Amino acid sequence: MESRKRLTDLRGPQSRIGRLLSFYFEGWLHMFTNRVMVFLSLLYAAFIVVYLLVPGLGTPLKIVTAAVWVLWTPQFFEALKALALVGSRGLAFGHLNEEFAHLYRARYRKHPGPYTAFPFVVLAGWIAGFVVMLLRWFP
Amino acid sequence: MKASPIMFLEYLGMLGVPALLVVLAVFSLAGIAGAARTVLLLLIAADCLVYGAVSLRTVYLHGRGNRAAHTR
Repeated sequence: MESRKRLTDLRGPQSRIGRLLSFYFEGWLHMFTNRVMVFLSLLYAAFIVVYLLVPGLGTPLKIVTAAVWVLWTPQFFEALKALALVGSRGLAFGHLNEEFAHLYRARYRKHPGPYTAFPFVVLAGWIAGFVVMLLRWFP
Repeated sequence: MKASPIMFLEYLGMLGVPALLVVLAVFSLAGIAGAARTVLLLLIAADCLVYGAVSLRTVYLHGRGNRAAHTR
């Protein structure tokens, strides 16, 4: 007779994001801003439509855009890191042990350097865009 | 939380909205306004709407009936 072990997820429910704070601040920040942006992105979409229909809402749109820009930063950065992680087969931002990492480098001839730099380079462009938006955009 | 194909749209928004916002900054630097900027703003609004709606589903609705399996 087959007996199956019952699986237990020691992490608890994924919805309880506060658990991340004690050991993974970056992950918590990403999840926290995600929870805020779930609603703010919907409001932002509605506000853009209102701005296009009603004149005189340029300054509020700029303020909301700045808030969206700042709150989107952790999510954008984490998504870029995920792309680098996948692209480098786990060598950049992964937690492979040294033997695996060595074998992967030998097998796939991948160097994690460019992948590790990628999110930071794009982040620099993102921050430059924020400054340009603040200084040059007058909706 | 299990991954679902619709979560692809969430990640598309997570990368697409910032990309469009950077284009907005480039537009302001290049002095492009008028219809082109209106279309860009509508694209940003549409992307935000998709991102918000899919995230709402992912965070608050997806896998709700199976919550007991995660907490046990």
